[in-house]
Amino acid sequence: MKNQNAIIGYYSTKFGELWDKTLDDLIMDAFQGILQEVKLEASAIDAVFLGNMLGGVVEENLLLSAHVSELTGIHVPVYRVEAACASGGLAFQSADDYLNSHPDSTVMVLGAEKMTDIGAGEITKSLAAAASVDEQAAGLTFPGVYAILAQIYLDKYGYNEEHLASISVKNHAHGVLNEKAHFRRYVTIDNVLESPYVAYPLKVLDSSPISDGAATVILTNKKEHIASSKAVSILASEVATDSISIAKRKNLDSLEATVIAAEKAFKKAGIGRQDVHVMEVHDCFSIAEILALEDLGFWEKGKGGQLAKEMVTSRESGSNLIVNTSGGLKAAGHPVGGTGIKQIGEIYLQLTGQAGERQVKNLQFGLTHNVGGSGGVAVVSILGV
Amino acid sequence: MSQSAVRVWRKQQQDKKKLGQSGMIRSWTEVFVSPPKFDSITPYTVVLVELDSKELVYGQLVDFETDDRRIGKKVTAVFRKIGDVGDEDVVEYGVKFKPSK
Repeated sequence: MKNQNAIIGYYSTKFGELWDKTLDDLIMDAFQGILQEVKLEASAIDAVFLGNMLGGVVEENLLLSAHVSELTGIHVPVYRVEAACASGGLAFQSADDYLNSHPDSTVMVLGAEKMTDIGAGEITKSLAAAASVDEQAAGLTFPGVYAILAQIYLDKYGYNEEHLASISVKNHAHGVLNEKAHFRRYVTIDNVLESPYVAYPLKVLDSSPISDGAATVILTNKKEHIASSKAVSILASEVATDSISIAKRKNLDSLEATVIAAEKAFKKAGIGRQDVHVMEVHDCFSIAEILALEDLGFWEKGKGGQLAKEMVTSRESGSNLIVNTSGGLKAAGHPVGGTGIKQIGEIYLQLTGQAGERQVKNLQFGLTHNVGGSGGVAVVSILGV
Repeated sequence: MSQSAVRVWRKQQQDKKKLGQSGMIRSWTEVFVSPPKFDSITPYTVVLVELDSKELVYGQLVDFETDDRRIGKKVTAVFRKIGDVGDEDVVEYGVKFKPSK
C-alpha cells in the first residue's frame, strides 16, 4: 500500500422509508456502526465531514455539527457539506483534501438524509431548491429539469422511452442482491413504461425514490491503520462545477461538470478508462446514467441509448465494465446526503472482496460519480487496491 | 418559501423585458408532480425556449393544441398569472408562452 490517503472501512444503514428514525437517529446509527466495523474508539477521529442537504428544510435543523457532538460526545471539528445530491461526494472529496494537509490523521465522512417525513408536494418543492430561480419560477421541478434534458437527448439521437427504461430494469436487478437497498425487486421494461409520469418523458420507475438513510466511511493517512485494515487507496477525488441553470450552459446533451471532473480524476490517478471494471454512477433518473457513461468517457456521445438498451453494463452481461452493483440510486435508494458515501462504500466493498453475492471478480480499480442538481456539481473519485 | 410582494416585483423587472418576444421550443416537459404553488394547474407544460436573441429562457406553455407541443415550434411570450396565491395573498403575474400564429 502506497503512503497516501486510504479508506479503511464502510458502514451503511438500511435505505428506505425508515419511519422510526429521525435524522439524528440515522447519524448516530452510522456513527456507531462504522466505529464498530473498524474497531476504533470515537477518540481516534480527528474530524467529521457530514454530507446533508435538507436538514434545514425537512426537520428545520441547522448547525448539524452540534447535533453530532451532542449525540456522540466528540468535540472535534464537524464540517457540514451541502451540494444537493452531491453532498456526500463533496464531503468525501473535502475529507480527502483535508488529509493532504493533516498528516497522521483519521477522519469520518458521514452522509445522512431524512426525507420521508413530508408529503410529495413539499419534498418536490424542497428538492427543486437545487434548481435555478428561473427554473423554479416556471414550475420546473427537479425531475422536470432532467425531463427537459431527456427530451433533448432522445430527439437529437433518435431514441425513445424504452431505451431509458432499460437503465431501471438493470439497476433493479442489481439491487435485488443488496441487503441494504430500498427496493429489492425486479422490474420489467413494461413495468417501467406503464408506471405514471412524474415529468414527461420520465416516469416513476425512471426516477430514484425518496429515501431515508445514512452511510459512512473512515479515511486515514496513519500508516498503522492502513497496515492493519482492509484498505483501499484514494487515487483521485476531483470536483467540478457548472451553472445552476441548464439554460446557461453551452451543451444540453451533456453535463460538462462530469466531463471536467472525470478528466481531472483520470489524469491524477494515472490510469485509463480501460482499467476500470466497476463503477457507481449517479442515476437519479434513467437519462442521467446514460449521460454519465458518455460524459465520463466510457461511451461515445450519442451511443448511450443503444448501449443502455443492450444492458452492456449489467452483471449478467459478462462485459468488463459493470455499473451500479449496489442497485444505483434507482434501486438502492437516494437519501441525498448519503448517496455519495454509499457509492464510495460500494466500490470499497467490491475492491476488498466484501460485496457478497454481487461481487465482481478480479478488480484493481473502481470509480464513483456523484452529481448535485442537474449537473451544477460533479464529484468523480477513483479508488484502487 | 414566502411569496413576498417585493420578491414578485423584483422578478417582474426582468420578466417584462421578455414580453412579446418570440422564439422556438428547444425542449419541453409536462410536470405531473408539482410544488404546492402550482397544485391547481397540475399537470402543466414547461418549455425551454430559445428567444430570437439566442437567449434560453423557461416558461409554461399555454393556449396550445397537442401538436404545438414539440421541439422546433415557434412561440411568443405573453402576460399571464403565475401559480396560486400564497399565505400573503399576493397575485403573481409573469411571462408564459403560447404558440405563434
